[in-house]
Formats: sequence, C-alpha cells, structure tokens
Amino acid sequence: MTTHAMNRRDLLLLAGTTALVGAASGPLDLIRPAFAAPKIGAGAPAFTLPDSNGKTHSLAEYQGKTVILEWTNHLCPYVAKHYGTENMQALQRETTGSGIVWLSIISSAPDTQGYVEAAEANKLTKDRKAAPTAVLFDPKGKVGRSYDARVTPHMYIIDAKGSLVYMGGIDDTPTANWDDIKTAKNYVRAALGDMSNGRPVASAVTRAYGCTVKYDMSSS
Amino acid sequence: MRRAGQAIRFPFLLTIPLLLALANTAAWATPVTTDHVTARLIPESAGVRPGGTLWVMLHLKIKEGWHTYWRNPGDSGEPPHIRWTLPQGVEAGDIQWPYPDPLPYGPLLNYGYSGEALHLVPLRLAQDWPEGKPVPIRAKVGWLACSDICVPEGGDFELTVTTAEGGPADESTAALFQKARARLPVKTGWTAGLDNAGDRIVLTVAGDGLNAGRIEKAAFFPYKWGVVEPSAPQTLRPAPNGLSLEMTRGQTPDSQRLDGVLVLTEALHDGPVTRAYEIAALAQSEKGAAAGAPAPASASGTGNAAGEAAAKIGVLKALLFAIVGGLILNLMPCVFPVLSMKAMALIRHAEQAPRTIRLHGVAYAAGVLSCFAVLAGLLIALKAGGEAAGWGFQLQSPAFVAVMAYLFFLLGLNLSGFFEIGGGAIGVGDRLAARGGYSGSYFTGVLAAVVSTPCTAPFMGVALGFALTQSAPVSLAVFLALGVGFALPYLLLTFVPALVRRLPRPGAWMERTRQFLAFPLYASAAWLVWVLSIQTGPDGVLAALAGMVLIAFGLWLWNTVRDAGPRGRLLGRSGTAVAVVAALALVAGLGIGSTPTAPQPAAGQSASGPKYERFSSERLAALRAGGKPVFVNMTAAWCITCLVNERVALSSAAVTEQFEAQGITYLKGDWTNGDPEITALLESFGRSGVPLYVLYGAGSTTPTLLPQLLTESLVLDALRDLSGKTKITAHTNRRSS
Repeated sequence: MTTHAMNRRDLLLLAGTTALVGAASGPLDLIRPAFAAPKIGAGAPAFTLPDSNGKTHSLAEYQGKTVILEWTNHLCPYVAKHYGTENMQALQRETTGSGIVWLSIISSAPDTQGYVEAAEANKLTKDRKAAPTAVLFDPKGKVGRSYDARVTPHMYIIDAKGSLVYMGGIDDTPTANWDDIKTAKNYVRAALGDMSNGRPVASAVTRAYGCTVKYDMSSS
Repeated sequence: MRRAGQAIRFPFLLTIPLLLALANTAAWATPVTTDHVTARLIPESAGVRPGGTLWVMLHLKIKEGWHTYWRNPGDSGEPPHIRWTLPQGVEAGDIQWPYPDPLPYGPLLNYGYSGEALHLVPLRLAQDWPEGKPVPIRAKVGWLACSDICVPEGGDFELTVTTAEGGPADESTAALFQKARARLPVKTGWTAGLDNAGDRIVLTVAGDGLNAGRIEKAAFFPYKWGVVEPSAPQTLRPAPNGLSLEMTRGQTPDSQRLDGVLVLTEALHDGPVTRAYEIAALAQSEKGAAAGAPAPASASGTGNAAGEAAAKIGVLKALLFAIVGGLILNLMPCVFPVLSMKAMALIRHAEQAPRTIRLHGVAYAAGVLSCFAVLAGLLIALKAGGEAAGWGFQLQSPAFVAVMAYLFFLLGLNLSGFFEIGGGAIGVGDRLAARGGYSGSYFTGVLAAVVSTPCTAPFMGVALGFALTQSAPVSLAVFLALGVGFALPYLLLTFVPALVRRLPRPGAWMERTRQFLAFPLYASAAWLVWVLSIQTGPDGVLAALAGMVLIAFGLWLWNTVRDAGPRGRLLGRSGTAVAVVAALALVAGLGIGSTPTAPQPAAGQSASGPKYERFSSERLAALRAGGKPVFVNMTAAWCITCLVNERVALSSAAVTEQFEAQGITYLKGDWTNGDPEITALLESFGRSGVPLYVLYGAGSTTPTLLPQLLTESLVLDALRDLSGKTKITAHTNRRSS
C-alpha cells in the first residue's frame, strides 16, 4: 500500500525531476593530480633523456622509424620473468635487427627499486644479453608520467610518423609465473605484425601488468 | 544487562585472529610462512557428507606494510591463485572474494587487502563418494605480496577431512568464517544502470530504502581491469530512490556493462556500517538519449547512447544540437513564463520604433549569451582545475537549490500580482517601456538564462557532455550556440515586426495569461523543494519553506508601507530587508545528507521469509512471560543495512524453516518515524538506533544480541545455539576471559 503511494509520487514527479536530481547535489570532489593519459593515434609525448653511455636521445631524432618504449625495473619479478626466460631479449634482437628502435626506460627514483647508475645498467645489459638500442634514465619520472607508465614492464609502440599506436602489456597473461610465457600471446609482436601488414593495431590498448613504477613521490 | 554487554562485544571478538587452536587438529594443513605472509588452508568443519559442500578458507596473514590483491588488482599487482589437486568426486568452486580496500601508491591505486585476506572456496563432494572414505585435499597456492616492492610467494597445502557429519568447527574457526562472510558482497534486488558521457561513466543504483543521504562513503570496484580508472575519484550523488556514482573511464572501457562490487558505508546511530553489494549494471536504453529531444530522461540525464553519441558527433553537429536545445529551452516551465511576459511587453509596445525594439532584442540576446559564457567559463575553469564538474554543477549545492526555489517563488508572486517591480509598472516584462530600458532587457536575458539552468541538464546532456570533453574554445562555442538558440525566438520577434503583428491584440487576456503563468513557476519552486528534500532531508525543506513565508511577508510589508510616510516606509523596508536576509540565512548553511527522507513504514507481510508480527513491548512481554522464544528485529525504511540484512539473512528458506521448527515468534518494529517503545528497547540494549536483532530463548534465559551485519550462516548458527543456551554462555565467558 505504502509502496504504491511511493511509486505514484515518484511517477508524478518523474518527468521533471529524475534528470535534474541526477545532475544535482553531491559535493564536488577534487581530482588527484592524475596522469595525462596519452592517446592512441595522437602524437607520442616528446622527450629527451640521457642513456647509460652518456648520450642523449630524443624521440624526435627517430622520426621515420618505429620506436618501442619499455619501462623496466630489473628487480621487479614481472620484469625478471621476461628477462629470465630471455623472452624480452629475443624480442629486442628481433626488432632492433629489423631497424626498429628499442628504448628501455628506467623511471625508478634514486633509492628505490630498479634505480641504477650507468655502469650497472650496462652490466645488466651485458649479463642479461639484452639488446635494446639504448637504456634511458628518467629518475624524476617526468617522461614516465607523460606516458602514463604505471608498471614494469609497460610497453609502447610509436610509428614512423611519431604517433602512438600501442600501449599496454607485453603479453596477455598477467602472472609472475615463468612457465606462462610459452602460452601467452605477445601483444607487442602482434602489434608489430599488424603494422608491417599495413593494418591498424588490433589490440592498441591492453592491460599492462607488473610492479608499479617506483616514481619519485616528491615530484608528483 | 551484563549478558547483553558481553554479546555486544561479539563482533569485536571476531577481529581477533584466533588461530592457535587450529594447530591442534591433525587433519588441518600445516601453515606456510614466507617472508611477508603466513598462509593457512582452513576447512570450516572436519567432515563433509557425500553430496555436501565443505567451505575451505585460504587465510593470508599479511605482514604490516604489505598487501595482497583482490581479483582485479587495480593499476598493478596480481590476485592470489589456488591450483587444486583433488580426487575424482571432489570439485572446487571459484574463490569468493571479500570486498577489497583501495590501496593508493603514489598516483596509482590498487585493490587489495592488508592485515589479513580471507578467501572462501566451496568444495563439493560427489553424492556417490564412499561412506567413511577420507577426502584428501591438496592445493598449490601462489600470491603476490607487495609494499614498495613486490614478491611472488606461495606454498603447498595438504589436508584430509572425513565424511562424518560436518558440525561447526571450534569457535575461532566459526568466527573467522563469519568474518569472511560479512565481507562478501551480497546480492540485492536493486536495479543498476550505466551511463557514458565522454570519459565519465555514471553508475546509477536504485532500490527500496537505498538513500544516498545516509551514505558516508561509497566505492565501486569493477571485476574487470581497465573499465574504471582506479585512482580517479568517485563522486556520490543522490538519485531518485537510490544513488549514483560518477567515475572515470579506464583504459579499456566497456560502454555496455559494468560488473563489480559497490561498497557502501552507512552512517547509523551506533556508528558506520560497511557492506558490499554485487552490481551488474547494463547500459541504459537508447530512449531519452537524443540531444535536445524532450524524451523521458534516464536517471542521470544522458543515456548510454547519448554518451556514445557524444563521442561521435562532430563539432558542427554539437553546435546544431545546442541551438535546437536552446530553442526548446524556451518552452521549459522555468523559462516560458518569463519569456511570455517579455513577449507581451513587446505586443503592448508594438508602436515603438522598430529600431528601439530591435535593440531591446539585441540587449536581451546579449544578456543570455553573457550568462551562458560566464557559466561555460566557470565550468571550463573548474574542469581545468581538475574539478569533477558537470552541467548542473551549481545544483549540487543545496543552498543554491534553495535560492533558486526562492527566485521561482518570487517570480511567481510577481506574475500573480502579489507585488510589482519598479513601483507599480507591470512587472518583469515591462521594462521595455522604460526609457533607456536596454539594461532592463539585458538583465531579463540574464535572468532567463539563470532560471533556465535547472531545466537544462536533462535536455542538454549530449551537447554539453560533448562540450566538456573538448578543448576550451569548442566548449565555449557549444555553450554560446545553446545561448543563441535560447535567445532566437525573442530575437526573431524583435527583428520581424510582422510576427508581432500576428500575435493577438493586447487586452484583458494578457493579465489573465500572466496570472496563469505564475503556476508553472510555483511548480518549479515546489520541484526544487523536493530536490532539497532528497539532498538535505526534512530540515532543509523546513528551512526553505520558512524562507518562502519570510519572503512573502517581506513583500507584503514592502507593499503595505508604500503609501506610508518616510519613516514608516523606512521601517517597513528595513523589515523587508531583514525578512529576506533571514530567508537567505536559513538556507545558507544547508549541507548535503543531514537527514534523509523517511518513507515507508515496514509493517506488513514480507514477500518471503518468516512471518512476523508488529512489535509492541506488551506483546514481547506477554510472549516472554509465556516462555516462548522470540526474535526481535528493529528496522527502518531508511536503513539500508536493515533492509539488506532482511533480504540476505532473514528471508532465506533455511531461516524460515528454523523459525517455524523452533516455534519462534518474529516481532518486527518499524522505527522509520521514531517510536518511543522501540527507542526504549534499543536503549535497554545500549543502542541508540537500528538495526537491532535480539533472540530470546525459550524460558527465562538471557537474550542473545546479534551483530548489526547479518549473514545467513550467522543467523542459522545463532538459531542452532538457541536450544543449547548454557553452552553458548560458557563459550562467551571463555572468549572474553
């Protein structure tokens, strides 16, 4: 009985009120300084960073080439999964061998996990038989934040025109289990395949899984 | 009383990790201790009958500063996984995930658990499992523990249970399972809808008793990664018969559906109560989505299709929509009367020079446009500053809503002829007659635009949703197009004198029309007061209505002293000023959610669940005197926790059966509108509000107080214990010693 009365009242007021009330009320929340998410198809954020050999690299100088960005932290178990199985190195050799630029970027702040000095970075590359074009340092995390890089590994592909064509995970199996690589679908390889066939990248945004990037919290 | 006091402590006891006792039972798995976690696999009971279900818990005790993850870990991380090795005839179900906590890490946000994580898994034993054959259970468990850094850990577990009747395990185990179940999301009968607008998604949930006014905190956790941006704020708003939660779309959005867990913290008299609810929201239908079309609006103004459309429509189309929308605004009950007066003034002064009339039209349009430009600028600035602002943002402030209600009331009174503006001219629309009244026309434009805003939200959804996702210049253009559409009809009248001549001649009809047009304005005022009732509850309504009385009184005073001497006039006008200031002061401090509306007494026959009688202390005393077992449920229509408890824990067939089997009389008290008898009982249990659940055993035993958050198994346990009352008391004593 009372429920019916409620409904009738609701009906009477519905026409004028539903939408308004939806829009009305509720305090305005402040958004936390959020990531400026880069957009697929838009120009990739420009950057200039030093590498482990004292050379600087800017995205602009690679105009005309496909560029792969790999956010990394050698102590993260998810990164260890892809280096320990040589999965990452294989992809690096495969891509750089065909003229693609591979930039591994370390956004770990000093005193956080994954932060390394140049010598250690070069030693890691040598010991792990890694084959990136360069290992770049972003200790302030500015470039990482401009790309909305959240985890390691977080992968990005920029096409020859400088547009972002892929961002997300290395593959589709979000675990730390080394055995899973055998059955996982590698998104980066798939995206590169699409690109070389002149197709738009089918999975352009995927879930990046791993450890959080150890950003410098004071500069957020 | 002393007994009751002990029982109240019951929920707190649940939080103590009572695990030492577990080691004594040989069948139970050895705990696995890693650097950051101590993990146990705990069966709810030592035996399971063939054909029955045994609940097993993966319990992770997590080192301080570390956490593990929910099924969707959020920005990073990985949920625990269990790989079972089970004999033929035993089948493991999915992990039942307790609702997670948001775990911020810098700019990122994860969903997970700190302190401890309780994962329940059902194991079903086949009907044909041989009687007496032990059931071996083996599991390989892995989890990721993270603080600043992450470490994958894991271990192997082995345990064996019998096929003996699976009685409840010892109390600490029962308490742990109870605790886990209280954190599981419950199914509700609520309806959930999803709206998309640009990068925003709005979840709307409606259901009986679901009132946003009582909710202190709301958080939505999606099952799927990437559909909601974890770190973006979620804005809770009241909605008809429920609430809405505005969130930011994730990286891999799904505009069709949103599944997950809604965690609500309800402010009750005895403190906040948190509970999680399963949500399966589908995109709202396409009806009501077309821009500017006066179709029935969906709960939040823009349907899903509208959101999709917003993403697709081009700038030109958005501008067109905005102009059409602006045109339609002229017909809104908030605007039409004001505009009509303006048009009538035109008719009355049709003899004026066409140029003068045109200039009035231009001044009016300028007023409209500047008002829209200011609103657009404000929105763009808020947006740039990171505020989660949407159209209608001004209406989020109850004080603003109240002042708008005053404004409509005032305009209505003016049209009714209760008072005149400008000392005896013919009101709002008549400024045109005054010499140099262009500023009057300008401000009429401003006024018309201001009064239009409450009507704008539902109809402007698409165009404005689009505008707000665009660059500032495009946003501004869309808003100005809206203004152009809005100003167009009047502008047309002033520029094409032939049109004015087409309108009826001036005459007595104008006065009658004017008086009639007051009513849409009163209706608008009434509607805004209703909005207030949702935002602030009865207090805000009283403040606004009292304010209106004051305003009417002030106006009357103003009119009365018009012909008095200078001193009388000063006195009267001061009185008017005081009345108006008082009216504004009344509503200035209105906040959201002070008290919600309190509808629906809950008395009557519930659709399912045990039969109940209306509570009265007399009836309770009589039943107790007769030595009958009684269950008392004190509830209120506005208490979400109460209604959900009834739904998930008190309405089940098993509970109903137990009530009947034990001959328990179920008394339900409705505290929706207060009731001194109920208040007295609440106070006798040291409570200041609902819910209250008391179980009186047969005979003169002391009553058992159930916690505020019920689960079916908790109620069944309590009912089972009712007969063995002495045993319970002994346990309770041991627990609290």
